Amino acid sequence: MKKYILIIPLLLIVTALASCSNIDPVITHTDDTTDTYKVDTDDGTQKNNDHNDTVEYKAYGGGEDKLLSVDGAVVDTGEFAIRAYELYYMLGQTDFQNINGIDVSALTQFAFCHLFYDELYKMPGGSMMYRQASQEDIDRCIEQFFGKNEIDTTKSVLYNRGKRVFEMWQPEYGTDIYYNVNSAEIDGVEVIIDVTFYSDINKSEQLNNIVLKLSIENNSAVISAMKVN
Amino acid sequence: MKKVIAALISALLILALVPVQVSAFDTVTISGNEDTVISGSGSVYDISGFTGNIMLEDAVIKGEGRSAVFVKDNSDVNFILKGTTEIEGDENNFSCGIEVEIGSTVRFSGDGTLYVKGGKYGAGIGSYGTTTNIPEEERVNVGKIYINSGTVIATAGARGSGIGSGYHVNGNYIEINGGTVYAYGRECGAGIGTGYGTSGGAIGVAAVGEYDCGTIIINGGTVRAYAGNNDSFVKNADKAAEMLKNMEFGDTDEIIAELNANDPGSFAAGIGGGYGSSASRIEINGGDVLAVGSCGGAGIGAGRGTSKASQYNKDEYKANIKIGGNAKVIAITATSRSNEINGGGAAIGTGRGSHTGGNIEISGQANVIAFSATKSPAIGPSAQKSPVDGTIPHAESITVGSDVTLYAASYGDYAVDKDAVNLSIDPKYFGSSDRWFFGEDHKNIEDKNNVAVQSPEGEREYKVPSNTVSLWSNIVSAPAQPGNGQSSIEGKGDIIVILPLAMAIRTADGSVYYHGDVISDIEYDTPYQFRMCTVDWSTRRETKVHEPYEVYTPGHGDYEGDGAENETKGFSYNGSVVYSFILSSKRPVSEDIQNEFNAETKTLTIYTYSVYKTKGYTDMYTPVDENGEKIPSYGDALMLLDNNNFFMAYRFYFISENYAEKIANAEVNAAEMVSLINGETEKTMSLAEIEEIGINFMKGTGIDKVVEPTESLSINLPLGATVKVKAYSDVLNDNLKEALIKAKESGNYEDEIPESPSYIKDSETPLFVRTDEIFTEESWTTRFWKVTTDENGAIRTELLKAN
Repeated sequence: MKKYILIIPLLLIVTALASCSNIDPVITHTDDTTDTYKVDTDDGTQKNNDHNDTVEYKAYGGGEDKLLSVDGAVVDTGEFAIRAYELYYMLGQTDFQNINGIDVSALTQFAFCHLFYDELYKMPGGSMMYRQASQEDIDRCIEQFFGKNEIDTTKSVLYNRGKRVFEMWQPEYGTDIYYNVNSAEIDGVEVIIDVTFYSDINKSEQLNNIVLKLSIENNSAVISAMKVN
Repeated sequence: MKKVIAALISALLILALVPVQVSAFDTVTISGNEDTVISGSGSVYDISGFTGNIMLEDAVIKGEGRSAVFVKDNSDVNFILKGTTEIEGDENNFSCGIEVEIGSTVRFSGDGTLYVKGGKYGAGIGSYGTTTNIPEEERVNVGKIYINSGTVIATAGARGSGIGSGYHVNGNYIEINGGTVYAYGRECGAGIGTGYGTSGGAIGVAAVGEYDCGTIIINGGTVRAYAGNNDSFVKNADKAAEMLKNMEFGDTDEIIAELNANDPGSFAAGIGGGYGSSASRIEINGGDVLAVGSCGGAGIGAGRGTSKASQYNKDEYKANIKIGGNAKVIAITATSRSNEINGGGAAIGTGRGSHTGGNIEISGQANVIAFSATKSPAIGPSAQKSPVDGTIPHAESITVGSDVTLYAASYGDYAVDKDAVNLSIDPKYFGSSDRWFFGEDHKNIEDKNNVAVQSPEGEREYKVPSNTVSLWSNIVSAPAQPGNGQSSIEGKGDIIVILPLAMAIRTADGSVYYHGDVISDIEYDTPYQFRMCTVDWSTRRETKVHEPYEVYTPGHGDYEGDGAENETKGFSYNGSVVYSFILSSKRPVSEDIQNEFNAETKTLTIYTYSVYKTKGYTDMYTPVDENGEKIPSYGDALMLLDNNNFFMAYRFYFISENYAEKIANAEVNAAEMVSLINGETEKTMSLAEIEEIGINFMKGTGIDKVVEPTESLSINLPLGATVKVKAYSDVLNDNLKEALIKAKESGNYEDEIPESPSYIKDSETPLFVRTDEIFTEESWTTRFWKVTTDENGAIRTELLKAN
């Protein structure tokens, strides 16, 4: 019971921090799905998303999918498991030791999507959705997920130098996700999350095992490294 | 009494219609005004002071020592043609076929055919002449000639015109209102006009320009006038005319070369002046006319002039030409002198060696084709320098009406004299393919490409002979043709999408366009956004159809759903990069440029009128029709996306964990491998070396759901997508673990497409690859194998993994 009491305020905090979707009031959110995601708890019950998308995609978590308190920050392991899914399966990023190891185009696309969607697996398909964002917004969003950095995001293929904006055809990432958080270890100010992804709801066919390393920066967890096995 | 009178009148009438029977070489004089019939063989006729009808019915008349028929003493004769009549002057004596004395008039009508040929220095119909220049008052001048119907084939004698005057004689008045007329000049005589005027005498006697064709008016009929009568010249002129009329320019160079090679060198116009003769008044108001000039003579206009100022009368040499009504005219000028290619006569205008281009007016709804087989303008003056002051001559005036249909072409710099003293042409009607109207800046000329043109044979595709400077008038909006840059909607355009293999684009409205598709009704100068997509090869159109593959879970750019949905979408991976295209209404800096890509804005500008250059683009992208024939594509507005601004070609190599074992077991390519590394104890293999030893079973696209894995060795992918790569294997190559991926930095991989094996097995773990990462050999060299041999000669391999 204590755990569930703790979850409520933490979820509120996570909601504010996990997404960049509220950082630019200029950007029109015509089809946003800004609901917070809800993942499986370790008791095996599943909580579905409660928004009204035409296709309602879900994340089916399990294992050590939990909230951790690390150096003043709250870390939702399920949330970062999904970030790992996004980085590899949706953006093709494999091993990286720091943000410089991430392809800048993939990085900006990751941030770009998060400007509009908390969860990329909810992004709908089937339509041509043009998106535009400023460099400031992109950079801010990247910083929120990966911490302070000196990435020159204008090198991205999504950057239009003529207009000086980022442009993107919105990817159609909508999918169900199946995963188990195998472990979430706190090592000083770092958190190592080990997660396995599956291709089916019964989690009988394993895809990859991904290890994500987080660090705490300004009381928030940011992604510092990833390894795909 | 009444019966007697009646019988007498009847007898007189009968007598009047009885054919005149003459014996050979008799001279028969016909006078008065009674209708007369000439038939059978006869020698010569004097028609003196006669006014009325004379039927020529199957007669054969040859002059000896004189013209075969001499019309004189203010006669006004209407020759009614019936059957076939042949009339010929004496080639050994100054004479004509039908000589028409000044003051007399001849008219031709009927439905028969007349072959008429001039004698020495004489016209077929008209006057004969003299050997030398003589004062005007002493010349044998010619009367008036009308042709209203029937068929007249008039051939000049030496130095005469087909119809008109003879040597050293002015023309007078010729009017053709109907019928069919073939007129052949000879030895410096025009087809219709004057005979040999002068090669230049003293001014005051007969300098160049002082002889003149008089008035030539064509209101109707079919007229073919040649400045020569040799068969090869006429035949090639006809072929050239046919080419121009039909706009079949494929053999233009050969046809024109033949025409020039067979040019008789007569220095005369087809219609107008002979050598040294002016053309003070030519009016063509109707009819179907072909006029072919020779060797410095205009097609229609004046004859060749002179290079000597002392022999040139600049006040007299003139060419005044009007073409109007609904006339259909083809004027051609040729030359047999290679050194005069730079400046023959104009097709319509003046001849070589003149000081003017004359006054030329083309009006009404005339259809005119003017073709200069030399470097002189088709309309205007010769390009040869003036005998007066050494400057390039210019027309005094050139006027082309707005309803005129005109095609003019020249091998020189200008199709029409751009520097005519008075020039009145609406520039919006003119264009050219190779070079523009005046051969200079044509930035402001619209309708540059992909237009149809009005020709004498109706609306036709815009085509011009190669190597010519061409001018078209009456360029009209093309009928709606796919991709010709011009839409069926006024002010909008169409473009053809050119894509690499197995790719498509999707525009903002969701429409999908494949290679060769047309995007219609595009606003000019307006950006349209689009994205690149990889086609699901199971639905691609350009190759064999495959059974659909198992649908992968959604979320990576490919689709889940029923067949209809996939069919509609037709592609598997979407790029996220936002591109724009603009159909420009402006011209490119160079006509070679079809598209310009601005990498800063990711915008492709498409020009509608740049000339398609095969050398710049491979044939594989040349549109073909249903018969496989290449579609003439100059002018097509092509949206060229088959370059690495828009996609990357990825090639995947899969590596087996137990490859060393396989080599050791000589299962695959062991001999090649051993040979390659013979004598080396260790070798890090490059991509080229791996390919060289033929480990082809390791290759495959491996891209799930895009293509059958071993069908192609590479795949084109859009930027900004993430593709799922599975390492498929066949029975020889299981346990595939790693995929090496190489993106080609430019161009396509032109892969062979092997037969698909029947047994395919997935690797255990797919890879997910971001497509905008450009792999280079340097960036993944460390992923190559390290192949070693131990002291026993056994081959060892070690996979060098990426960092």
